[in-house]
Formats: sequence, structure tokens, C-alpha cells
Amino acid sequence: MEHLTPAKAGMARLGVCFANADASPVVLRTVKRHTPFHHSSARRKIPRTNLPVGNAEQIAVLLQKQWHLYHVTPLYRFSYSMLKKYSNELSVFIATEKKKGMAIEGGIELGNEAKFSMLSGLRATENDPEAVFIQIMAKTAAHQGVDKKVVWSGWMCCVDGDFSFLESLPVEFICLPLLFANGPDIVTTMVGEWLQKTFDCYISAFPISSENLTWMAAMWANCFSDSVHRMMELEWSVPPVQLTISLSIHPEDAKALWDSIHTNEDEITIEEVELFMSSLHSHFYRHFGVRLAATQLVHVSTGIASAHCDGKLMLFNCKHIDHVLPFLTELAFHQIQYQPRLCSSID
Amino acid sequence: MQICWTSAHLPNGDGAVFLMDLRPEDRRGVGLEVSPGWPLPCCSLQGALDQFKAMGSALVGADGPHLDQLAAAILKENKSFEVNIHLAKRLPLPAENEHSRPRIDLIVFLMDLRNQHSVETVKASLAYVDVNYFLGKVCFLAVGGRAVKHQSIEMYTLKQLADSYSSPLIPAELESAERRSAIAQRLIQILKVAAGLVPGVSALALSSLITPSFKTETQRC
Repeated sequence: MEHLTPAKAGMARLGVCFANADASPVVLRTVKRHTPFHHSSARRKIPRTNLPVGNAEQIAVLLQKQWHLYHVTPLYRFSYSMLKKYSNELSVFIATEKKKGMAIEGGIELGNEAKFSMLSGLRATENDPEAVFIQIMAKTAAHQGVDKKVVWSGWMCCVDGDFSFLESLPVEFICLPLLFANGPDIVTTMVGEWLQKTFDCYISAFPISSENLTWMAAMWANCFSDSVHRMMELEWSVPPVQLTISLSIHPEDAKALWDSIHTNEDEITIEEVELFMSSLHSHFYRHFGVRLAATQLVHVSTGIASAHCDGKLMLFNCKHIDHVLPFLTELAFHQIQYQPRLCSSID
Repeated sequence: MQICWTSAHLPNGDGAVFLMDLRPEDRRGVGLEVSPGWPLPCCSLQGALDQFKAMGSALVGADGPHLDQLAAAILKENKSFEVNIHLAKRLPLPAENEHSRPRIDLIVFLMDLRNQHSVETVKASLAYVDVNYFLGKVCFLAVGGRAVKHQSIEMYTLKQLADSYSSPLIPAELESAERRSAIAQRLIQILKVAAGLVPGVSALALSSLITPSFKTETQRC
């Protein structure tokens, strides 16, 4: 009781004691963040660190699949040593949900065994938590024996997260803000419910704005390589007339256009991105007379990845994952810190 | 014969010298009011001069059903005085109708967060607005801020634009009829002040009250 000042000691006599709680200086820093109309950064670094591709076959599972993106708030008391226990608990949860008859829909297999595993190698720095991979399998009885078929898979990761935010989290929390899900929606809902109940987090939808899609288009045009042969496709939608406009660009042309704009080796600025998009717009206007600036970009697809504004993502290339994931992590952190308005939740 | 002259600072910013010739046979009972206490002398001439009873406002913005619906909502709302609304896709207004156009008291610029072209149109139109209008007679309206999915512009950019012209920015949703009538009421209030019909309040004072004190600078938090 030595640290009590005389005033506090007086209060303590009355039965009230204000202990000097550990007010970390980071709490004051977060006040600064709640200004309205946050401005996202005008320049973004091109990631130079190549993610270790030691377990390329593990990462190969992530490719060529349509992933649905979700936000996850920091998980409470998630431990990497208890992955087996989580697998059992999730299996039991799915089995009880099936018994309750809540998710009976014709023809959809729900699976009954869950498996949690660690996806090592999907982190940029030492501060990022390791990624977690979840699979839900169904046992199908074939005549040779029991076969396991993957019904649903998902993974959570955090790549190059905001260091000051990660540091300010209390020790019990782990931040894996991105959840990728592939499989029937009902299973996604069930897994989401279990995660929310077990780790006291909140999972919400992750719509990607048109502006961020233009950033992605510029960033992915930047890392064109010879092994990539997919056309760059952009899709715009015009809601009042239910029209979708799509444009295919040869990757070499896109790279040539981008190279004529891009100067700095280390980072991409918003002026370069805007110039890239406005040159595409003016080209389109000159040839077709349609003003694309008045429409909304909804889909970007290149040889590296493809993204849709509803929060759907596909990864094509193992080598260039480090150009996609850090940007998504940054958007996820932006959502957690500056816009905690709750998007439509997963259930 | 009495000759009385006065200079009136008309609400549309033009200083004008009136030479009023009051002859007993056509005396019209013109009175003069000076509002006390405001640095900007806000003289309003009351009388049978109808043109000072009607207010005009111009809504400038890109295409879309928004402009027409908003104009319809404003016309429905207002009850006690005559409002003329002029819809325009861009400024400058065509020069042919210059002489017959009623006076414009308030310019509302409509910008859609989903539509980059609307922001560019508004930026180009701002160059054609007379400087005196920026003393509280210009207002920015930002539409489409609710859905994240289709936004091409950030609200921050629009706020910067509004701050650089010292005018208020009102975020609005024009999808439903109730929201439209709420915004219409607000705009009519601003219009009344901008036209000088509210004694004691000038347009500049009102705009400084509406615009919040934070600016889009990072050191202010």
C-alpha cells in the first residue's frame, strides 16, 4: 500500500481503493485514430520479402480455389498447442448441429471431422502469428475402405500486420484478421459460430471497395513475370441499367503501360494508380464512347490473383502471394482500427 | 418630391446603389431594416417588390435520378415562399437565358462517392462560380457513403475539397423518401438564410456554424 497517496489512502479507509492500473501509453495513441473520415495511405510499399516457400505443397492447396473473405477480430486465448483439441471440439459441434437438423439441405454433405493445422511460412515478419489451416472432411465409405473427402477448407492468416497495433494487443489475444473460406455457406456459418463462441471474436463480411480494387490492379500489373500467361481482366458494373462491362488486356501491354507510369522502385503512389486507371478509362472512351469513370469497378483478374468486390478471391501463383496478402491484411487492420461499424455478420 | 437613396448589400453579393424616387403618388411603403449586431450589414428591403420574396437555388451534379428526386422533394417541402430550382449537370450555365434567370441564392453541388466522374465535373464547375458565393452560399452534398463495396472515392477527399472552399459538406443518403425529405428540409433552411429571409442570421455565420471545427489535417485530433 506504499504507493497510495494521502488522498487515495483516505479513500481506502472508506473502502474504496483505486489501484494504479497499468495505463499503457498505447491507449493514448488509439484516441488519435478515431477521427472521422480516415485517409488511407497515399503510398504503399512493394513487398520485397519473398515468403519462404519451404512447404510449397502446403501452399499449393491454397491456389486455384475460390475463397470467400471475412474479417475476424482478434482471437482470445487461441493457442497453437491445442490444435488437436480444437479439431475435436469443432467435430463435436458440427455433429450436434447436424443432429439438431438445422442445416439439412438436399445434397450438401456436411462432413463430420475437422482438422486444424498450422500453415507455416505465411508470415512476413516475426511479429505475425502463424497461419492456421482448417479442413472439414467427410468420411465416404468406398468399397476399398474409408475415404476422406474434403468438404470445406479455410485458413486464417496475418501477413505483415500493423506492428503498433499488434504490439498494443494484450498478451492473451492473437490477431489473425483474415479468414478465407471455401465450401458450402452453411458450413462456413457453423465454423464461424464456433469460432465466435470459443474465441470471443466477431466475424463479418469483407467487401472490397472499388478504390482498393484499382490499387490491386496496379499492384498486380506491377509484378508481371514471364511465367504468367493470363489476360488481365477488369469488370465494371453500371447498376442503373444492369450492365456489366468487361475489358481484357494482354499482360505485356498492361506491364508496358504501368512501366511508363511507375518510377520509384520501392513504392506505389496513389497518383500512379489513378493515372493508370484514367489512361484505361480514356482509352475506352476514345474507342467505345463509354465513360468508365462513372461506373464502378467490381472485378479484377490477373495472372497472380483475382478479386471481386463481394469479397471473393482466387490465388493463382505461389510465387507472388506476398504481393496479395499484405495488402489484404492492411485493409483488414484498417477495418478493425478505423471502421468498427459492423458489416453484415457471417450468420 | 423626395429623393432618397440607399445602398443595399443584396444577398447575392453584388453591392448595388439604389436611387429611389419616392413621389407621393406612388409611395410604396418601402421600409428599411438593419439587423443589429452582425458585422455584415444585412439589409433587407421589405415591400411589394416580389422578386425579393422568391428564392432561387441551383443544384449542380452528375446524372442520375438523385437530382430530380431531390428537387421534387424540395418543392414538396416548402410551403411559405416561392423556390425556384435550377438543375444543371455542370457549370457554366448557358448564356442565352442569362437575363430571364431568377436570382440564385444557394448552389448545391452533388457528388456521388461511387462515381468518380461526378467529382471531376464538380471540380471543373467550381471554377465558374463567383467568389462571393463562397461566403456561405455554396454547399456540398456527398451521396453514397453507406455501401463500402462500390466506393471509388474516399469521404476524406471530398472533405478536403469542401474545406478548401470553406463550405459545408453534408453526407446524405437519397435512396428513401424519408431521407430525401430530411435533406430537403435542411437545404431549405440553409436556402432561407442564404436568401436573407431570416433576420439576424447571415449566410456566412450559418456556414461557420454548420462546418465542424475539425479540419482534414492530421495534427488535429
